Amino acid sequence: MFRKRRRLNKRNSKPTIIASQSVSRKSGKRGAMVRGSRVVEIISKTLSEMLVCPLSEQPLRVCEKSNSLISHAIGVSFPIVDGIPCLVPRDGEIVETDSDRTAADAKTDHKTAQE
Amino acid sequence: MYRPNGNFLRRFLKRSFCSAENIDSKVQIFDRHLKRKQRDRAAWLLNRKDSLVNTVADNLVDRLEDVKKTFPSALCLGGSMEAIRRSIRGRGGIEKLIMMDSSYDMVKLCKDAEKDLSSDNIETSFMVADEEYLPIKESSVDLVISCLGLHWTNDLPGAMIQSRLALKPDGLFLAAIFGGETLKLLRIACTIAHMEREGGVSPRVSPLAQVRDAGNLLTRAGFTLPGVDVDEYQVRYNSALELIEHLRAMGESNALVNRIKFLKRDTALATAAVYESMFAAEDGSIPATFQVIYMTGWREHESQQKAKRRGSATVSFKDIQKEFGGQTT
Repeated sequence: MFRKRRRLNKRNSKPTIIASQSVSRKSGKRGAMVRGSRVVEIISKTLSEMLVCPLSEQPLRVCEKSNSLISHAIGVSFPIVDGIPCLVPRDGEIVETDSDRTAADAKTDHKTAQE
Repeated sequence: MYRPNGNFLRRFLKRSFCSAENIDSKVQIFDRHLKRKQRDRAAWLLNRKDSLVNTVADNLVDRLEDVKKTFPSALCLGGSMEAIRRSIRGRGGIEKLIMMDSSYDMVKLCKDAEKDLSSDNIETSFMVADEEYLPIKESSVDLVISCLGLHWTNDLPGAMIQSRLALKPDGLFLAAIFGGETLKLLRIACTIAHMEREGGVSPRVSPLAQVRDAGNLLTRAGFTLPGVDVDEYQVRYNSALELIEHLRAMGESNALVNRIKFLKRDTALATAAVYESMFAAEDGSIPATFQVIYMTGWREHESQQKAKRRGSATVSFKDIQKEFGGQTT
């Protein structure tokens, strides 16, 4: 149990993880035209029309900032390496949400207090 | 007990993707992660002049010419997709092609090779994905083609169902997989050498689908007008070790979950010796059989011919002569 959590914490510190706040703000901004043209740069139009999340079968969103595809349904991001999206479930990273992080922090704090 | 959402999800992710670590409710036969690594390696060992792979790919793509329909958008699943890409050469009216493999290096290799092939005006896109978790929207491609890749899936019916869902109505599913007769001699040689050197047997050649299973698989996955045919290829090698080199270059090394993770040198050499002494041809060459099962299936569409429901006939067979009598004579 403890080992697992340590591994999770290591994961938390990875730079690719995106806070949910910025995600929701970006999707709220509806610059469809601009975004559409940029999407083509990262992955081809054919792909962006066809791809869905491999686990939930829900649509994916291209995140230019982190160069990844994000599945909102399960909160996982998949990297795009050199224009090739990597959608093997193993390559997925869990997107940290703020509420998640505070909960996890609270939990570790609790744990250290106990020890 | 309260658990935050993220942790729960993380545990789910861990559990369902670590095939080797713990066995889920689904049966895990192949180590998909290892297969990925083997295919990464195969990308570097790949031989473009591999006649076996080229023949199978060409044979598979050739089937597109038997159909009047064109397939503007196609999805090429993992396996020998590099050979598929080369053999298309304008067949099947393919305009958009998506190439997919679980190995990044393999996809990258194809992407780099694309420059040499740009003459045929196919818009090609690339992605890394797992056949067992196909990330394609429903009803979005006209053709799914898979050359020598699907025999490594743990859940072959599941992968085929996902391919069917990705197809548009009246879309075609074409696949070539290795069948049960493949490497029969190697199987025998491995068993004998293992018995002799280690006093027991461990699986070294993976279980493969039989021909009779292939038809059932297609029907079970819900394809209409299923078609299965088999080809056997005899490949001759100078030595048994060359056969293993070839398998490695194709990315067909052992990836069973229950494999023994190392092979003793003398067992390996004994296997080669057994193979050569038992099965070598008169000229000293080593034969190996590759059985390839070709599967064809369509996604259901009302324009396709269908058998009428049992008992729905309105005319007796006895009266058929009367019905058509006038025309035949």
